[in-house]
Amino acid sequence: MPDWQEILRREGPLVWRTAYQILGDRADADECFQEAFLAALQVSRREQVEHWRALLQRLATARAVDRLRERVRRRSREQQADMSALCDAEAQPLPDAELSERLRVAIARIPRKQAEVFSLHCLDDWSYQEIAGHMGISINAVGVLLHRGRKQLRRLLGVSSGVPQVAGRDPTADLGATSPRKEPS
Amino acid sequence: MKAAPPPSEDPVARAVDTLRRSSSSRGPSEEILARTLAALLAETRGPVGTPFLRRSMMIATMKIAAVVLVAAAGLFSLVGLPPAGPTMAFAEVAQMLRNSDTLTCLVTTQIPGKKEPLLMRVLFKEPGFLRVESVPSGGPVHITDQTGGRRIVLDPATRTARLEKLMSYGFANNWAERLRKMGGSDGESMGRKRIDGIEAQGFRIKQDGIEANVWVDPKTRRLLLVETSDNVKAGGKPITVKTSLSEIILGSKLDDSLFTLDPPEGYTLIEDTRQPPK
Repeated sequence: MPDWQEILRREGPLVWRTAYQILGDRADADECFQEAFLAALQVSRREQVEHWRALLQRLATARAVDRLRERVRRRSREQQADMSALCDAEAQPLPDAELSERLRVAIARIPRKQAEVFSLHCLDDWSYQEIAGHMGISINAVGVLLHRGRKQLRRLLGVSSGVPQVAGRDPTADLGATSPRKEPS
Repeated sequence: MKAAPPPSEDPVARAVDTLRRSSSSRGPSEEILARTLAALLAETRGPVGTPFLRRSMMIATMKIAAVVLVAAAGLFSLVGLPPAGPTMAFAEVAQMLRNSDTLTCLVTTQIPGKKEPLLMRVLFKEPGFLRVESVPSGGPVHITDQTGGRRIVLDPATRTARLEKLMSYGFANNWAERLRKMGGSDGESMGRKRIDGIEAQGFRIKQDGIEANVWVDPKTRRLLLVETSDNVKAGGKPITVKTSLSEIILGSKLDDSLFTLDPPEGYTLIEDTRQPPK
């Protein structure tokens, strides 16, 4: 039987920050954190777990991305554009807070696999090899997903960064879309 | 292919850096850690076929509670008890224990492979009520009615109360009667050692397959420490669990409400209809 108290003590802070980085909300991060550990328990019943940290981070990332996507879709449907309600107001001063939140919204807009790979590599410093091993894909596929994800995020974030856009194009169109993007096959 | 903008102009890199900096000093609260641990332990206990280590330890704890009470009387009949004050006849001891219908103690259990010991507060009240609480508080509470053959497990994290049937634990509820029968038992003197500044006298007692080292203050006859080991099964595998009982108090007033099998207000009752293993 896993020593959950020890695993929580050792891996808990990192796993929680993984969720919080993506979600930017303490309550959401708490729920995601607990879900990740309970999911890890289910995994441990099926197979021997050798690297708890990697498993928990992967589970937390996947759940946080799903939760973020649902949150952004819900707010788009409700047509609420109040960005300050999506993050802890006391975390950091503007414009950093706005930049972080725009990144979160952008992550929610790209395909789920791209969002997961991007989060694991850029936010949690996972290597291509580690990502490939845990997601069951090739290293080359990790590279492709990361490249596509960054490209889309760059385009979505280009609105607030001052990077010149294509003339005649509505710069807010992508950040306000109400329909979810279709997942690549 | 168009090259990516330099890092300083890359909005993604800037945003990632900002996001990471804002999160680096944050961490989970003690509350979410405790809630998650409680949820994991509750989930571990739930499904049929999952190793019930806590159940095995509960059984061992109840046996140990009986050993403590027997030892409290038995040790006074042992050869070698030093004349450190007025001696007591066993009949007096048996009478004292018959009058003491409660026992409370702190149980510290060391499980093989685990760094931290498991701590439980145990409360026992005649006829056959047992309450086991996690230490620190906030974890599950087990309340057993041996006479009625039932147990309720209260989980504060999920606010659920699971009502279960019990199997017979194989020892009489009337421990005072067992005590009288064991009044003539012998044990091995283990000399003395200091416990919390007190020169304690030790005895080795054997009963029902459990061997226990019992340490008593010879001046006050107060039980100071009971050390024992017990073989239980976890996941089908036999393991040896070492347990010590401390902070032992006999005869204190314990309210009946501590042993009720009615779920507290706000708790969801779950009745476990599984039959006890034979």
